[in-house]
Amino acid sequence: MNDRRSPLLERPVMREQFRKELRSRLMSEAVVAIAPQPGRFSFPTMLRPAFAVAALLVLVLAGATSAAASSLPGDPLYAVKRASEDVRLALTFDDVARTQLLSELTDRRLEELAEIAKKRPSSAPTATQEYADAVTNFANALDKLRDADSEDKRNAAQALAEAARAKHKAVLDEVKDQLPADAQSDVQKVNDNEQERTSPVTNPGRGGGEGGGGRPSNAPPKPTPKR
Amino acid sequence: MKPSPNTLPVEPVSPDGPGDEDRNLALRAGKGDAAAFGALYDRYVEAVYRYVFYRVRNDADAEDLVSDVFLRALRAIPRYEPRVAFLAWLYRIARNAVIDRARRSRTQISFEDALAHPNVDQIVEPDATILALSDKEAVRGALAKLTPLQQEVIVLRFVEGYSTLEIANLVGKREGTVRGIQFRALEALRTLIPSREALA
Repeated sequence: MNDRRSPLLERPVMREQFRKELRSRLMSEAVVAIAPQPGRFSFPTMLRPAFAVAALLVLVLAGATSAAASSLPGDPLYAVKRASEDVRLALTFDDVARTQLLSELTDRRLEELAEIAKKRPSSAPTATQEYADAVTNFANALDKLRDADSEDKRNAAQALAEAARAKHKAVLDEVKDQLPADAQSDVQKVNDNEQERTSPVTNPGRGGGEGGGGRPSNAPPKPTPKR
Repeated sequence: MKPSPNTLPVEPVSPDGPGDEDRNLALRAGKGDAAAFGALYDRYVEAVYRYVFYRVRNDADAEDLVSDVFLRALRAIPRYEPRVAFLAWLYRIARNAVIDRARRSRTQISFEDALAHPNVDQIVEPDATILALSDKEAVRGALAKLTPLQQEVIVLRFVEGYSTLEIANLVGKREGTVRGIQFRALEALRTLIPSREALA
């Protein structure tokens, strides 16, 4: 690099005005073009592959869960569906929200039963058992809510019970005839149990049970709620 | 060789330049430090202007190109790799900008193939005084008809005053190749620039 020479051609000089204007334009552009984004988060380089794998797993699981959402009792992905429901339940700590969720899951079991009746009546016993388990869980949660000290909670329990009772009876009346004969009686028993367990409790001491009616007279007496 | 017509102080910017300082400024700019980019601009805007000046038809086009080069550099600075000297990186952006502009206007004629390609070991530098004797508009008009690489070599050699080895480093070619390009470019310019005697 020792043969540097003096310039042979005239060295042009730029206009000072242009130089200033361009500088000021670049400084304005720099605010947008290179300013750090406040919310931007960058994973450390070494951890990027791990995050990529984790993201892929999440996508795969999300895809499997999505596919499982439409599965019916007896399907291979049905266990995935139930597992995701269990996770949701385990993460729901409020009594009212948990009972609401159990009510929704009971609805879902009933919808599955209706689908099974149309598409695959041979799986009706499995679906009926799923429905029975859901009814039991919902009813247990209702009992717990009815025993709560808060009147709001007791009222919520009553509202949930009434909504579930009416809806489930209507659906069962519609699909029952489509089920095999032996399944029909099982479903009826489950529904009778649900109607009984979700009926309003006459408990003058708590002031709940508006709407009247009380439990059917042949129902076993409910134990005195714990205080 | 006659003395240079240049009346300005000769301060050629080295491609190796104040390397670490440039790299630090460029890295800071890449992380959002606008003032660091401003410092690089102040340091190299004249060099970029000289680099493009003879390769366009007029001063306005040169200013357009300088704007284009620095806007491209601003957008690319977050991806700057400090392994490359900043000025070499900036010249590369300028080179691409010039080529893009030439493609749009499509005015240059390639003398690369039209002239014989001598063995680089036998190259004797042609008399370049024709550049010193010609006015800049005539040189500019003639340079516009060379290939972008020929233009670049002529400007870096005869405006910036770089050695052929430095130019080789800047353009990513062998020194012998650069000397060959320079030879053919000067030969072409001798045919393109009318001599003063002819004009008289």
